[in-house]
Amino acid sequence: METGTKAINFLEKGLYWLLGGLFLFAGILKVRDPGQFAVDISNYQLLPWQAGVATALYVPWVEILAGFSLIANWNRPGALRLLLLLMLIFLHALFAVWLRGLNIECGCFGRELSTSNYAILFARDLLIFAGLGWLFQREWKHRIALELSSGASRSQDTSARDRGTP
Amino acid sequence: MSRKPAVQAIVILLLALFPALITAFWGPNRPNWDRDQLAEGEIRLTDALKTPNAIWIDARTKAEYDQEHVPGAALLNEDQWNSLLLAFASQWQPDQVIIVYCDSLQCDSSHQVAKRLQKELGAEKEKVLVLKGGWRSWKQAQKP
Repeated sequence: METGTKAINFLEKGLYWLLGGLFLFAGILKVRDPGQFAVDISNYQLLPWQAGVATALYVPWVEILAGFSLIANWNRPGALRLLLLLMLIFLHALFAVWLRGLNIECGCFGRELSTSNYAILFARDLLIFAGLGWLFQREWKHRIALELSSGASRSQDTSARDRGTP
Repeated sequence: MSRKPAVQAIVILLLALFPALITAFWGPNRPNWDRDQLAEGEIRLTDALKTPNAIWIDARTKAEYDQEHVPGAALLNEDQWNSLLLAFASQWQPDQVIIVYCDSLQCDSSHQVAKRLQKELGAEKEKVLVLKGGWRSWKQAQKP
Protein backbone atom coordinates (compact mmCIF):
# COMPACT_ATOMS: atom_id res chain seq x y z
CA MET A 1 0.00 0.00 0.00
CA GLU A 2 1.27 3.48 -0.84
CA THR A 3 2.36 5.77 1.98
CA GLY A 4 -0.20 8.41 0.90
CA THR A 5 -3.09 5.95 1.04
CA LYS A 6 -1.87 4.66 4.40
CA ALA A 7 -1.76 8.19 5.77
CA ILE A 8 -5.27 8.93 4.51
CA ASN A 9 -6.61 5.71 6.03
CA PHE A 10 -4.91 6.59 9.30
CA LEU A 11 -6.43 10.08 9.18
CA GLU A 12 -9.85 8.60 8.44
CA LYS A 13 -9.66 6.26 11.42
CA GLY A 14 -8.42 9.08 13.68
CA LEU A 15 -11.20 11.38 12.56
CA TYR A 16 -13.84 8.74 13.29
CA TRP A 17 -12.45 8.45 16.80
CA LEU A 18 -12.10 12.20 17.30
CA LEU A 19 -15.57 13.11 16.07
CA GLY A 20 -17.15 10.11 17.77
CA GLY A 21 -15.50 11.13 21.05
CA LEU A 22 -16.61 14.72 20.56
CA PHE A 23 -20.28 13.81 20.16
CA LEU A 24 -20.08 11.29 22.99
CA PHE A 25 -18.62 13.98 25.25
CA ALA A 26 -21.15 16.63 24.16
CA GLY A 27 -24.02 14.20 24.71
CA ILE A 28 -22.83 13.18 28.19
CA LEU A 29 -22.48 16.84 29.26
CA LYS A 30 -26.04 17.56 28.17
CA VAL A 31 -27.54 14.36 29.55
CA ARG A 32 -26.33 15.37 33.02
CA ASP A 33 -28.65 18.39 33.04
CA PRO A 34 -31.47 18.15 30.47
CA GLY A 35 -33.37 20.87 32.35
CA GLN A 36 -30.59 23.36 31.61
CA PHE A 37 -30.37 22.16 28.01
CA ALA A 38 -34.14 22.74 27.62
CA VAL A 39 -33.63 26.36 28.74
CA ASP A 40 -30.71 26.70 26.30
CA ILE A 41 -32.87 25.38 23.44
CA SER A 42 -35.70 27.66 24.44
CA ASN A 43 -33.31 30.65 24.28
CA TYR A 44 -32.98 30.05 20.53
CA GLN A 45 -36.69 30.95 20.26
CA LEU A 46 -37.17 28.48 17.42
CA LEU A 47 -39.31 25.83 19.13
CA PRO A 48 -42.27 25.86 21.50
CA TRP A 49 -41.30 25.00 25.09
CA GLN A 50 -42.63 21.42 25.05
CA ALA A 51 -40.83 20.65 21.77
CA GLY A 52 -37.65 22.06 23.32
CA VAL A 53 -38.08 19.81 26.36
CA ALA A 54 -38.53 16.74 24.13
CA THR A 55 -35.44 17.76 22.13
CA ALA A 56 -33.42 18.27 25.33
CA LEU A 57 -34.35 14.80 26.53
CA TYR A 58 -33.80 13.00 23.22
CA VAL A 59 -31.01 14.65 21.18
CA PRO A 60 -28.18 14.11 23.73
CA TRP A 61 -28.86 10.37 23.68
CA VAL A 62 -28.78 10.36 19.88
CA GLU A 63 -25.41 12.13 20.09
CA ILE A 64 -24.11 9.59 22.60
CA LEU A 65 -25.23 6.56 20.58
CA ALA A 66 -24.10 8.00 17.24
CA GLY A 67 -20.74 9.05 18.75
CA PHE A 68 -20.29 5.56 20.18
CA SER A 69 -21.21 4.08 16.77
CA LEU A 70 -18.48 6.09 15.05
CA ILE A 71 -15.87 4.90 17.55
CA ALA A 72 -17.00 1.27 17.75
CA ASN A 73 -17.67 0.92 14.01
CA TRP A 74 -21.19 -0.26 14.77
CA ASN A 75 -23.85 1.03 12.34
CA ARG A 76 -21.25 3.61 11.36
CA PRO A 77 -22.70 4.79 8.00
CA GLY A 78 -26.09 5.37 9.61
CA ALA A 79 -24.51 7.26 12.53
CA LEU A 80 -22.52 9.39 10.09
CA ARG A 81 -25.67 10.43 8.24
CA LEU A 82 -27.51 11.17 11.48
CA LEU A 83 -24.70 13.35 12.79
CA LEU A 84 -24.45 15.23 9.49
CA LEU A 85 -28.17 15.96 9.71
CA LEU A 86 -27.83 17.05 13.34
CA MET A 87 -24.95 19.37 12.46
CA LEU A 88 -27.01 20.91 9.66
CA ILE A 89 -29.78 21.63 12.16
CA PHE A 90 -27.30 23.04 14.73
CA LEU A 91 -25.70 25.29 12.10
CA HIS A 92 -29.09 26.52 10.94
CA ALA A 93 -30.18 27.29 14.53
CA LEU A 94 -26.92 29.06 15.30
CA PHE A 95 -27.09 31.13 12.12
CA ALA A 96 -30.71 32.07 12.89
CA VAL A 97 -29.87 33.47 16.36
CA TRP A 98 -26.76 35.17 15.03
CA LEU A 99 -28.83 36.95 12.37
CA ARG A 100 -31.45 37.99 14.92
CA GLY A 101 -28.75 39.39 17.20
CA LEU A 102 -29.77 37.31 20.23
CA ASN A 103 -27.14 37.09 22.94
CA ILE A 104 -27.52 33.54 24.21
CA GLU A 105 -25.42 30.66 25.44
CA CYS A 106 -24.94 28.00 22.78
CA GLY A 107 -25.54 25.01 25.08
CA CYS A 108 -23.69 22.81 22.58
CA PHE A 109 -21.41 21.31 25.23
CA GLY A 110 -23.58 21.92 28.27
CA ARG A 111 -22.72 24.93 30.42
CA GLU A 112 -19.15 23.90 31.26
CA LEU A 113 -17.72 24.84 27.88
CA SER A 114 -20.26 27.45 26.98
CA THR A 115 -19.58 30.54 24.91
CA SER A 116 -21.75 33.05 23.10
CA ASN A 117 -19.14 34.14 20.55
CA TYR A 118 -21.05 33.26 17.39
CA ALA A 119 -18.08 33.51 15.04
CA ILE A 120 -16.17 30.91 17.09
CA LEU A 121 -19.23 28.71 17.48
CA PHE A 122 -20.07 28.84 13.80
CA ALA A 123 -16.46 28.15 12.76
CA ARG A 124 -16.28 25.21 15.20
CA ASP A 125 -19.53 23.70 13.94
CA LEU A 126 -18.49 24.20 10.32
CA LEU A 127 -15.22 22.40 11.04
CA ILE A 128 -17.08 19.46 12.60
CA PHE A 129 -19.49 19.44 9.66
CA ALA A 130 -16.57 19.45 7.20
CA GLY A 131 -14.94 16.53 9.04
CA LEU A 132 -18.17 14.53 8.95
CA GLY A 133 -18.66 15.48 5.30
CA TRP A 134 -15.20 14.22 4.38
CA LEU A 135 -15.83 10.91 6.18
CA PHE A 136 -19.21 10.65 4.47
CA GLN A 137 -17.76 11.06 0.98
CA ARG A 138 -15.03 8.47 1.78
CA GLU A 139 -17.65 6.04 3.04
CA TRP A 140 -19.85 6.76 0.02
CA LYS A 141 -17.02 6.08 -2.44
CA HIS A 142 -16.12 2.90 -0.59
CA ARG A 143 -19.75 1.74 -0.68
CA ILE A 144 -20.06 2.43 -4.44
CA ALA A 145 -16.78 0.61 -5.11
CA LEU A 146 -18.01 -2.38 -3.10
CA GLU A 147 -21.33 -2.45 -4.93
CA LEU A 148 -19.58 -2.22 -8.31
CA SER A 149 -17.16 -5.00 -7.47
CA SER A 150 -19.93 -7.25 -6.11
CA GLY A 151 -21.98 -6.46 -9.24
CA ALA A 152 -19.02 -7.37 -11.45
CA SER A 153 -18.41 -10.66 -9.63
CA ARG A 154 -22.13 -11.50 -9.91
CA SER A 155 -22.10 -10.93 -13.67
CA GLN A 156 -18.92 -13.06 -13.96
CA ASP A 157 -20.69 -15.88 -12.10
CA THR A 158 -23.72 -15.58 -14.36
CA SER A 159 -21.67 -15.69 -17.58
CA ALA A 160 -19.65 -18.66 -16.22
CA ARG A 161 -22.93 -20.47 -15.49
CA ASP A 162 -24.21 -19.63 -19.00
CA ARG A 163 -21.03 -21.07 -20.51
CA GLY A 164 -21.35 -24.13 -18.31
CA THR A 165 -17.91 -23.65 -16.77
CA PRO A 166 -17.41 -23.92 -13.01
CA MET B 1 -24.63 -8.59 5.17
CA SER B 2 -24.46 -5.04 6.50
CA ARG B 3 -27.66 -3.06 6.96
CA LYS B 4 -28.46 -0.06 4.82
CA PRO B 5 -27.43 3.31 6.34
CA ALA B 6 -31.06 4.44 6.67
CA VAL B 7 -31.91 1.31 8.65
CA GLN B 8 -28.82 1.82 10.82
CA ALA B 9 -29.89 5.42 11.52
CA ILE B 10 -33.38 4.27 12.48
CA VAL B 11 -31.88 1.66 14.84
CA ILE B 12 -29.86 4.40 16.57
CA LEU B 13 -32.88 6.71 16.78
CA LEU B 14 -35.03 3.95 18.27
CA LEU B 15 -32.38 2.93 20.78
CA ALA B 16 -31.99 6.55 21.91
CA LEU B 17 -35.69 6.63 22.79
CA PHE B 18 -35.31 4.28 25.77
CA PRO B 19 -32.82 6.29 27.87
CA ALA B 20 -34.61 9.50 26.83
CA LEU B 21 -37.91 8.18 28.20
CA ILE B 22 -36.22 6.99 31.39
CA THR B 23 -34.68 10.47 31.86
CA ALA B 24 -38.05 12.10 31.14
CA PHE B 25 -39.78 10.17 33.91
CA TRP B 26 -37.09 9.54 36.49
CA GLY B 27 -34.08 11.74 35.64
CA PRO B 28 -32.88 13.93 38.54
CA ASN B 29 -32.54 17.09 36.41
CA ARG B 30 -35.46 16.42 34.06
CA PRO B 31 -37.04 19.55 32.58
CA ASN B 32 -40.53 20.61 33.51
CA TRP B 33 -43.09 20.16 30.71
CA ASP B 34 -45.26 22.90 32.18
CA ARG B 35 -43.45 26.16 31.69
CA ASP B 36 -45.74 28.08 34.03
CA GLN B 37 -44.95 25.88 36.98
CA LEU B 38 -42.50 27.46 39.41
CA ALA B 39 -39.05 25.89 39.60
CA GLU B 40 -37.22 25.73 42.91
CA GLY B 41 -36.25 29.20 44.13
CA GLU B 42 -38.62 31.08 41.79
CA ILE B 43 -41.34 33.56 42.72
CA ARG B 44 -44.24 34.99 40.70
CA LEU B 45 -44.49 38.75 40.22
CA THR B 46 -47.73 39.04 42.23
CA ASP B 47 -46.05 37.39 45.22
CA ALA B 48 -42.81 39.33 44.71
CA LEU B 49 -44.69 42.62 44.90
CA LYS B 50 -46.22 41.57 48.22
CA THR B 51 -42.87 40.60 49.73
CA PRO B 52 -41.96 43.07 52.45
CA ASN B 53 -38.43 44.44 52.73
CA ALA B 54 -37.38 43.02 49.36
CA ILE B 55 -34.36 44.21 47.43
CA TRP B 56 -34.43 43.83 43.64
CA ILE B 57 -31.49 42.85 41.45
CA ASP B 58 -31.32 43.35 37.70
CA ALA B 59 -29.12 40.62 36.21
CA ARG B 60 -29.33 41.93 32.65
CA THR B 61 -26.61 43.89 30.86
CA LYS B 62 -25.76 47.45 31.88
CA ALA B 63 -27.16 48.80 28.61
CA GLU B 64 -30.51 47.12 29.25
CA TYR B 65 -30.49 48.30 32.86
CA ASP B 66 -29.71 51.89 31.85
CA GLN B 67 -32.57 51.84 29.37
CA GLU B 68 -35.17 50.79 31.94
CA HIS B 69 -35.38 48.72 35.12
CA VAL B 70 -37.59 47.92 38.09
CA PRO B 71 -37.61 51.06 40.26
CA GLY B 72 -34.98 50.77 42.98
CA ALA B 73 -33.36 47.66 41.48
CA ALA B 74 -29.59 47.32 41.70
CA LEU B 75 -27.54 46.20 38.71
CA LEU B 76 -25.64 42.96 39.33
CA ASN B 77 -24.63 40.83 36.39
CA GLU B 78 -21.93 38.26 35.79
CA ASP B 79 -20.07 40.46 33.28
CA GLN B 80 -19.09 43.01 35.94
CA TRP B 81 -19.54 40.76 38.95
CA ASN B 82 -16.69 41.82 41.22
CA SER B 83 -17.23 45.57 41.03
CA LEU B 84 -21.03 45.38 41.17
CA LEU B 85 -21.10 42.87 44.01
CA LEU B 86 -19.14 45.23 46.25
CA ALA B 87 -21.62 48.03 45.59
CA PHE B 88 -24.56 45.71 46.21
CA ALA B 89 -23.10 44.22 49.40
CA SER B 90 -22.82 47.70 50.93
CA GLN B 91 -26.57 48.31 50.60
CA TRP B 92 -27.85 44.80 51.39
CA GLN B 93 -29.01 43.68 54.84
CA PRO B 94 -28.95 39.92 55.58
CA ASP B 95 -32.64 39.94 56.64
CA GLN B 96 -33.75 41.30 53.27
CA VAL B 97 -35.26 39.06 50.59
CA ILE B 98 -33.39 39.37 47.30
CA ILE B 99 -35.44 39.12 44.10
CA VAL B 100 -33.33 38.63 40.98
CA TYR B 101 -34.62 39.07 37.45
CA CYS B 102 -33.21 38.84 33.95
CA ASP B 103 -34.89 39.45 30.62
CA SER B 104 -37.54 36.79 30.28
CA LEU B 105 -38.70 33.32 31.13
CA GLN B 106 -36.00 31.89 28.94
CA CYS B 107 -32.93 33.68 30.24
CA ASP B 108 -30.80 31.98 32.83
CA SER B 109 -28.59 34.77 34.21
CA SER B 110 -30.95 35.44 37.12
CA HIS B 111 -30.55 31.84 38.28
CA GLN B 112 -26.78 32.09 37.94
CA VAL B 113 -26.68 35.37 39.87
CA ALA B 114 -28.95 33.90 42.58
CA LYS B 115 -26.63 30.90 42.96
CA ARG B 116 -23.56 33.10 43.22
CA LEU B 117 -25.22 35.35 45.79
CA GLN B 118 -25.89 32.34 47.98
CA LYS B 119 -22.36 31.06 47.51
CA GLU B 120 -20.32 34.26 47.63
CA LEU B 121 -22.45 36.58 49.74
CA GLY B 122 -23.65 33.85 52.08
CA ALA B 123 -27.29 34.78 51.51
CA GLU B 124 -29.81 32.19 52.74
CA LYS B 125 -31.32 30.03 49.98
CA GLU B 126 -34.90 30.93 51.01
CA LYS B 127 -34.06 34.63 50.82
CA VAL B 128 -32.73 34.66 47.26
CA LEU B 129 -35.55 34.28 44.76
CA VAL B 130 -35.74 34.48 40.98
CA LEU B 131 -38.60 36.38 39.38
CA LYS B 132 -40.55 34.01 37.10
CA GLY B 133 -40.79 35.59 33.66
CA GLY B 134 -38.18 38.25 34.47
CA TRP B 135 -38.30 41.80 33.17
CA ARG B 136 -40.89 40.93 30.54
CA SER B 137 -43.39 39.83 33.17
CA TRP B 138 -42.82 43.16 34.95
CA LYS B 139 -43.40 45.10 31.72
CA GLN B 140 -46.46 43.00 30.96
CA ALA B 141 -47.92 43.83 34.37
CA GLN B 142 -47.39 47.59 33.79
CA LYS B 143 -49.56 47.52 30.65
CA PRO B 144 -53.06 48.90 31.20
